[in-house]
Order: sequence, then structure tokens, then C-alpha cells
Amino acid sequence: MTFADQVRTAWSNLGRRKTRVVLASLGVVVGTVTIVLLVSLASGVRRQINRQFESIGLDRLTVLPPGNWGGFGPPGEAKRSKLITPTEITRWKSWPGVAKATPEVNLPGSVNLEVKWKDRSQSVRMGGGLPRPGPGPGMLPGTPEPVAGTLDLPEQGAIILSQGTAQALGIASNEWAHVLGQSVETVLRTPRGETQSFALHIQGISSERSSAVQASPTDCLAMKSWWFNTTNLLQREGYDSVAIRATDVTQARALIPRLRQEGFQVQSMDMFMEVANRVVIAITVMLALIGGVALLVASIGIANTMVMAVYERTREIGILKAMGASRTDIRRLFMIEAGFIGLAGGVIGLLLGWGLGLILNQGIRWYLQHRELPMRDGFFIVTPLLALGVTLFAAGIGIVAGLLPAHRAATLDPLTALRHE
Amino acid sequence: MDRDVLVKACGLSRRYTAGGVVVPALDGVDFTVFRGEFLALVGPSGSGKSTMLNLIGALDRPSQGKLSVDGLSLGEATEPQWVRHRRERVGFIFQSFNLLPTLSAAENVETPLTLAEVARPERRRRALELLASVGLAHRALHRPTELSGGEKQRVAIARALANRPPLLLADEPTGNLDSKTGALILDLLCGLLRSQQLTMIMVTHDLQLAARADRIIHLQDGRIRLVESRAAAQASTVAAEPEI
Repeated sequence: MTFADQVRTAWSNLGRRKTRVVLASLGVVVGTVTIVLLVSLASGVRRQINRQFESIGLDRLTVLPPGNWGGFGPPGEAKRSKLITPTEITRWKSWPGVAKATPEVNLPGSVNLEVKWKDRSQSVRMGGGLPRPGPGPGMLPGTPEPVAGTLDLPEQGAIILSQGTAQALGIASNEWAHVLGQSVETVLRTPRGETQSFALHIQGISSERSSAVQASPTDCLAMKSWWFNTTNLLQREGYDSVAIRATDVTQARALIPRLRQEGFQVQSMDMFMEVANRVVIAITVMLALIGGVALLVASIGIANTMVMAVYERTREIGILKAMGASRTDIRRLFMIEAGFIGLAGGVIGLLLGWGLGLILNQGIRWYLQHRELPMRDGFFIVTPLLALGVTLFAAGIGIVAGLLPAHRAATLDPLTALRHE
Repeated sequence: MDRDVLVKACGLSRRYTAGGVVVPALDGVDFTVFRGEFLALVGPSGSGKSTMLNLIGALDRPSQGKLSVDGLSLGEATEPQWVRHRRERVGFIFQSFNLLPTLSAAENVETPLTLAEVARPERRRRALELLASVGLAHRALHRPTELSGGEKQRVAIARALANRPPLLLADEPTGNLDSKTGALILDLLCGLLRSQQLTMIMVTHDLQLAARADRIIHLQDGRIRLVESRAAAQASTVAAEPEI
């Protein structure tokens, strides 16, 4: 008997007892729905995580000098074995795959900084408003984006205000475009009352909500020099960090080992993402196993149905054997039948789980919008691999469940089978 | 004319064990069936006629002795050889027809061809041809439940002939039919035997039907009691008739 004939015969045999097939495959449906929902949830969560990381920018790296993190204490405290000098930055800029390299100078959090605009002034923190990799308070929900102008700072003389700062200074959102290029005064004030002000041009306004600003690196350096009352800060300390933007994600990945080889510390989102993904994969496997157990239970139902079918069709098996059906023919017939029950349950379960996921996605989306949480996309994502895998697995479960009944049918004595009433 | 041997049995025995007691269903039988011959096996129930048929059809394995059919020694044959034997060398015709109830007449006839992996169009063509040869072309699409007893047996005969086996094994083929239909079925079988030069071994306890065979083997308690050729059988039937 050819395989095609076996499949055809098994299929038509199934049609003879529809109710029982439906009942037997119900267990598979439940198991498959469980797997589809749990695994699609896991891949949805994974995608959410990845998207968050990607929105922060996988093409961005932060290069730090080796040794102390630096920048938060007075100069001299940080022991940097290697400095990030303007020469280094120029060199990196010439590397293929580097789109941009922006030096950064951090002002300690204790620095009292104010921004003055017309008659208003607002106390701010330095170092907000620029997209940079690394986890931080600004990480969720995503990195700042320009709401006016650009977030690209020139070497000197410019400042980026956060949306929060602009509002605190009384600049209404419809004026944002007009204030670009205008000068604001940035004032440093020591506890003893000494002040120093820097006039900087507004380069752009970022979507950051807290009161923060970001000044050009040279100006930051000047502020820091004044605050700590030192000279030659750049020669002695170098920049605190460099934000490198690669031309694409692949280039960014290639840059990491290269920079590390030179002895610098590199931070990138890629590393955090990898850890997060590993955790999610572990959870996915566990959830899939739970669904797998449900499917195994369902296989008992299939086995029972097949045992009954073999009993009922004993005489038919005898007839087929008398006409020259081999053991393999009979075994395959029953195994294919059992596989079909599993497959049917798998397909129905997949469609149900998929549909349920879509409905749940709508619900979650509605809830998130209601709560003004900026999550896009679904949480239940059925990947082609999941769809294919779960269907094949369900069919496989059916075939395994059919093994024993099929073996029984195959090894029936033809004479005994023919005498069966 | 030298006659071609199709079936040869030598000291053939088949014993069953029932409740610890060994029951000999067939007890050291020797016989030969020639190609083209129509042989009838008669005897009371339990005499071993069906056992003999099952052994020849490779549905059962001999306990002792030798049995060869068309050159294949069935006692020593492997399972795949048995399967091939059932598929290609013999065609079974049962008392209770044994048609597959969910298949149409044509599909029933096709089944042995399906098992022999004959291509689908060829299968259908041959099934219809066979149904026509038993006079059932118009019933090809009917299920067994829609057919009369005689029609069912004719479908079964067509099925038995599907793979062109040299040997037909008929176990009480008219046992479930009324005498008129039974006679018609036997007419059909005899016609097919002649036209296709087939060999047939038929189990029956109807002596009148057996009388149409070339030879009759009388069995009793698993042993051959008497072998009659047709002429003698006819004479005995005729002689017996006035007594009824």
C-alpha cells in the first residue's frame, strides 16, 4: 500500500466517526491553545523588551576611560589610566562604521546650576536631553527625541533644553521653534555665593520632561574647570565619556571589541538586551513545557480512541490481512489516523490560541492607552516557528499516542480477527 | 498429459491447544491440487476443511508436515512472503462475504489492488471491468448494505480475482444464500474458472454443489476419508437422490 493510499484511507476512516474524533482532539485543542498563548506571550514580551532597547539605540555606544567612572568627584580623585583626548576622538571619527563621536563632560550632581530666560530662572541638572545608551531614569519610556531643533550639539556654545525646562521658563510650546538660536544664560552658583554665567544658544528642545539641560562639551569643560577651580582639565582628565553612534547595529557590535582592545570601557544596549533575552527564552521554554504536559494528557484520550477503533474494526483488519495487507500497512493506517486527530486538534488549537491572543492584545492595548502607558504592539505574538512547531508537535503527539494501538492492530492474528463479531 | 501441481501437502497437520487439551484439526494429510482443477472439500463441521483452506491461504501456520503452494513452502515462509502470497497467489471468498461496509462495491474490489500498489486510474478501470464480468457494473457505487446476498458474493468474487491470483479459496461461498442464488453463484464461479483457467478449492457441505467439482476430498476428524473424481461423485449423488 502506498503512503498516499494509507493517508487517504486513514482520512476516510476518520470521517466515519466524527463525534469521537472531535472529542478526542478536544484535549489536543486545549493543550495547543495553552502552548500558543503562553509561548506567544513570551515572544511578545521579548519583542517589547527588544523594542525598548532598540528605541534607546542599539547603534549607540558609550566609551568610558578605563578605571574610575569619574566625573562625579573633584578632579584628581579619579584615577584614569588612560584618557579620552580630542586626539582619540578625531581618530575614532575616522574609523569606518563610526557615524558620530560626541565627547561628554559630566558635571557633578552637587553643582548648582540655573538657566535664565528673560525674567525667569530655573534650577536644572546637567546631562539630560541627549539620547545615550545605558540604563538610567530616562530609559523608559524611551530616549528623548527632539521636539524642536536638533539634539546634535556643536563643540561649543550651544545648549539643549528639556521640554520640562522650557515649560518652567515659560516658553510655550508654540514658541519653541522661534527660540531656537536665541541665547540663554546658564549660571553656576557656589555655596559661597560666587557665580559664573555662560551664554549659550538654544540648539534644540528635547522631549525629556524633567528639568535638565545639555551643554556643548567645551562649555561643560569650562563650567567644570570653574567649579573645581582648575586648569588643564582636559589634559589631565580627558573627557568623561564619548557617545559613539555607529552607521548601523552590526557596525556597533564590531566596534565594541575594537574599542575594548584599546583599553577603554564600552557600554552598549546590546549587552543588556542579551541578558534580558536569555531570561525570556528560559521562561518561554518553561511555559512551553507546561503546555506540553497538557498535550501529553490529551494523548491519552487519543490512545483510548484508537484502542476502541482497533477493537471495533478487528474484523476489517482481518479482511485486509486476508487480502494481503502487511503489518506495516495496518500499523501505518492507525498511526496516520491518530496523527490526523493530533493534527486537527493542533490546527484548531492554533487558530483558537491565535484568535484569543488577538483579542487579549486589543484588551491590553485599550488598557495601556487608558493608563497612558506608551506600549506599542501586541503582547501575544504567534511567530511562524511557533505555529509550525506547535502543529507538528500536536500531530507528533497523536502519532505517539497511536503507536501502541497501531501495533496491536498490526500484530492481530488474521484468523482470530476474521472470526471477531 | 502431464499435469502441473499447484498445491502439494505432505503429512500436513494442524493442532490447536484448547484448555490444555491438544485438538488435532488436521492430522497428517497428503494431497495434491493440480493447476486448473476445481477441488471440493466436504465433511461434517470440525472435520478440518476450513483449517485446510486457511493453511493454503496462509492465514494459519501448519504444526507439522509440508505444504507448498505455487512453489512456496508455507511452513517455512517469512511473514512478508505470507503477505505476498495472500496478495498475489490466492483470492479468498468467504461465506459471510466479508466486504468492507464503508466502501462501495467498486472500492471493495479495488482494495486488493490498493494493497498491491496499483496506480489509481488503473485500479478503478480494473475494478469496473471485474464488476462487469460478474454482472454488477450497474452496482459499482453501491455500498454492501444496499446489495442483496447474491450481489455481495459477486462483489466478493470480483475482489478475489482483482490481483489475478492463480488460486481461489472459497469457504462455503453459497452458505449464506438461498439454493437458487447459490447455484447461480457457482455457475458464475465455474464459468470464471474455465475462462480464466483458475484453480479453485471450495469448502462446502452441500454434496450437490460439490458434485460440480473435478474432484472431491471427503474429510473426517482431520483425515482424508475418501477422494472421488467427478464421475464417481455424480454417480453417488444420483444414487443418493431417490432416497431423499
